[in-house]
Amino acid sequence: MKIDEFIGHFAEAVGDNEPIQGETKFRSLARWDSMAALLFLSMVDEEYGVRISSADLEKCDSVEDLFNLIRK
Amino acid sequence: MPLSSFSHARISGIVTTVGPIRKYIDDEIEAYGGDRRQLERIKKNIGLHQRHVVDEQTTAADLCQQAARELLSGCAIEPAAIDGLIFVTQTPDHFQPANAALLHGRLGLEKHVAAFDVNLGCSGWVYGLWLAYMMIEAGGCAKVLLLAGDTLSRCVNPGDRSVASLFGDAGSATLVEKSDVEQRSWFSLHTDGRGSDFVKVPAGAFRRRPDAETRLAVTDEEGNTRCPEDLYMDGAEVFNFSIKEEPPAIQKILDYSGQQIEDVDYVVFHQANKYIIGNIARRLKLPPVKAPCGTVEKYGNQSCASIPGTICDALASDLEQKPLTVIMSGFGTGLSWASCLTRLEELQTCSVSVYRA
Repeated sequence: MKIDEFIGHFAEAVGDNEPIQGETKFRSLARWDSMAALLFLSMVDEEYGVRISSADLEKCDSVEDLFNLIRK
Repeated sequence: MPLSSFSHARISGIVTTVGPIRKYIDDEIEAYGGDRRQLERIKKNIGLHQRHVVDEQTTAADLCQQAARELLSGCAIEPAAIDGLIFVTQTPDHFQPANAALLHGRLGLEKHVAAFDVNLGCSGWVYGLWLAYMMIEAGGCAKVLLLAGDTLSRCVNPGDRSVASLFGDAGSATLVEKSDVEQRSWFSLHTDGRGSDFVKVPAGAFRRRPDAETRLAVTDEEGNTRCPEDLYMDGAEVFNFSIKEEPPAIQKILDYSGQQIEDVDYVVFHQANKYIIGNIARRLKLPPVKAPCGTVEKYGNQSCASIPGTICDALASDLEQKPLTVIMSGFGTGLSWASCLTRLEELQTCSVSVYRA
């Protein structure tokens, strides 16, 4: 699984136009809020068959951290 | 007893009474940092627009009282004919006595009535229906009044964006009667108490009595303000729970009843929000038209009254034309979820009214 593909899905789900990389701190994105979190959780469930708890989400900082959650 | 079926009880009427005050999320743009685009995105995805709420003096008992009166007159039933009364609520008038007893008195019912409350949230109407069917099939009751209502708008802090604009207030009244002709219904009921923290009012009852500290509001890292007496909801966990448990629950009730999704006219989900219903429907490959989701943007999330609220609002005109095979499925605080597959036909009344003080 490639991180580029994941970033593509992430950007599409959250609906953000800012350039996103692995090291991007997703909470600093203008579009990140509780709604974006739901859109992201739904995408991860549908695309990767993984459910992320809100406790796991809280521990993440960067987009790469999120990627590592679903790679487990 | 997670699975059970019944053959001689039926729903013969439903009335839902909504709060008289209309609130609009467009008027609350300050809560979204004045960001119009973000507000529009939330409106579109979650399905928020308008909601009907009550004032500080009105309770679920008041809403259900009006619904019950309209139901009894719409079904041409004398109060004396009622022999069972179930009140489902998490926002009762008092810790003691039960809302069911209050309503028994207010509606002028006879003494031969079994009346009690059920403390459940969004799954509560289906649980109440299951109890009513059992009371009838066991032989003790012939006409059970199922009242289900909440005033969650009075439980949320206006500074908590995760819940402030979501909830509406409503009370429903459903008449469940003994049926002489065979009328099959299938139920499934579930609980997962490991998720009991996800939708919770932490203080105000007996684990933590109300005091100055429980009324002290604090702002969390996400910028949401609430105190321990306010309703807390972990939206992400509720979402995860819904999409994990609801699709298999619907499949299970279909398998249990020996029916296919094609045989079902509508799946009436608890109206958590448009986004959650859409997600569950997509996972079930259910055509959107079969999963009504317009209640939230019209009335708000009505807690335990949202399934009867949706039947009264979205299915009433269909029901005048023909019988409908429906699955009704509630899910929420507990965590608790319950589903029922039945046929709705010849309802004597099926309508929404606005509360008149």
